[in-house]
Amino acid sequence: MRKYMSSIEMRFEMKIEVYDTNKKSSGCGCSCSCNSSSQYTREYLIKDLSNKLSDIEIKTVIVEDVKTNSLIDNLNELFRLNGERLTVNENTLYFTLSKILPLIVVDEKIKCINSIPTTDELIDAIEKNTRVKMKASCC
Amino acid sequence: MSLSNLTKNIIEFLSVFDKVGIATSDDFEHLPNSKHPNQMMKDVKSAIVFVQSNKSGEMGIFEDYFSVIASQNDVVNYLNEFGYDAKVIDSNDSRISFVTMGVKSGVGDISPVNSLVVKGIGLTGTIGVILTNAPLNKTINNNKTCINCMRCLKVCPIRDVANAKGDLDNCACGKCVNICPV
Repeated sequence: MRKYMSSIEMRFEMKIEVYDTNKKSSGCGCSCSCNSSSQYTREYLIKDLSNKLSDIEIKTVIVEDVKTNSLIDNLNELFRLNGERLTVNENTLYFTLSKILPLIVVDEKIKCINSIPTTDELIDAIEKNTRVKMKASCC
Repeated sequence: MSLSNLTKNIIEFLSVFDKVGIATSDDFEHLPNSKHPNQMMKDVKSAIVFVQSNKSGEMGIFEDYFSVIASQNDVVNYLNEFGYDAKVIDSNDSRISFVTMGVKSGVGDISPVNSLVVKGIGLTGTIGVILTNAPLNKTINNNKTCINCMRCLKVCPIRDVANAKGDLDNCACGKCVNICPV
C-alpha cells in the first residue's frame, strides 16, 4: 500500500466519482465468489480512500438524484472520453445502469464497473493506469 | 424493411454473443401466465435470446463488457426506429424463465440440473433476453444438445433426480458449470 501512496500523493487533487444507486440489488443469492456476493460497500471504500489518500476529492453521484437528461449527457460524455462505443438514451438508460453500477471514475477515466472494488484494487488500477478486473457473474 | 431483414440485422447486432436465437409468440402459447412474457410487455411477439460463454470464470475482458451492453442497446434503438417496442429483461427478473426462453428460441437444451446447455459452451453461458412486439422470424437451431451424461447431476448438491426442482436456497452455485462436456 505504501509504495502506491508515495507516487499517488504526488498527484494534485485526484477526483474520484462513485456513481451508484440507492436501490438495493437483490443479486442472484448464490454463495460462490461472483460479483453478487461482494460484501464491500460504497461507504467503506470512500472512508478507506479518504484515510489512505490525500489531495483527493470524492463525489458520490446517486443516479436517482440526477435529472435523467443530465445523467444521459454525463454518461455519454464519459463513454466518449473513455473510447467506448456505448451510448445511452431514455429507452436504454435503466438497462445500462443496471449493468454498470456501481461505476467508479477517477479523473474522468472509468476504473471500475458493476461492483465496489477493494481500496487496494482501485489504487492498483490508478497506479497502473488500468481498470479493475470484473468479477464473474455466475448465474 | 422486411421482417427477414429486420431479423437478420438484429442477429448481426448481437454477433458479439456466442449464440443468438429468436422465439416467437407460438412458442409462448403453452407457458403458464406466471411465466408468460406478456407480463412484461403487452402484445409481445418475439423473444430475442443470446448467450455468452463465461468459461474463463471472468466476464471476459473489461472492454467486451461495454460492447455487450452496447449491442443490446443497439437492438433496442433499432427496433424503436421502426416503431416497435423493445425491452432488455433484467436477469434478476423471475417473471420469465431465461432457460425456457433459451430452449424455445432453439439456442440450447435443458440440462438435468435445469440450466441451459449450449453447444460449444456447455453450462457456462450467461443468458440475455430482449422482448419485442416486432413479429420477427423464428430462428432454427438444433435443440437436442444435452447428451444426458448426467455429470452435472452427479455434482449437484440439491438434486438426485434429473430436472427435480431442488432447494435453490442451498444451491452451491457453480459446481456443475464447468463439468459439462458439451
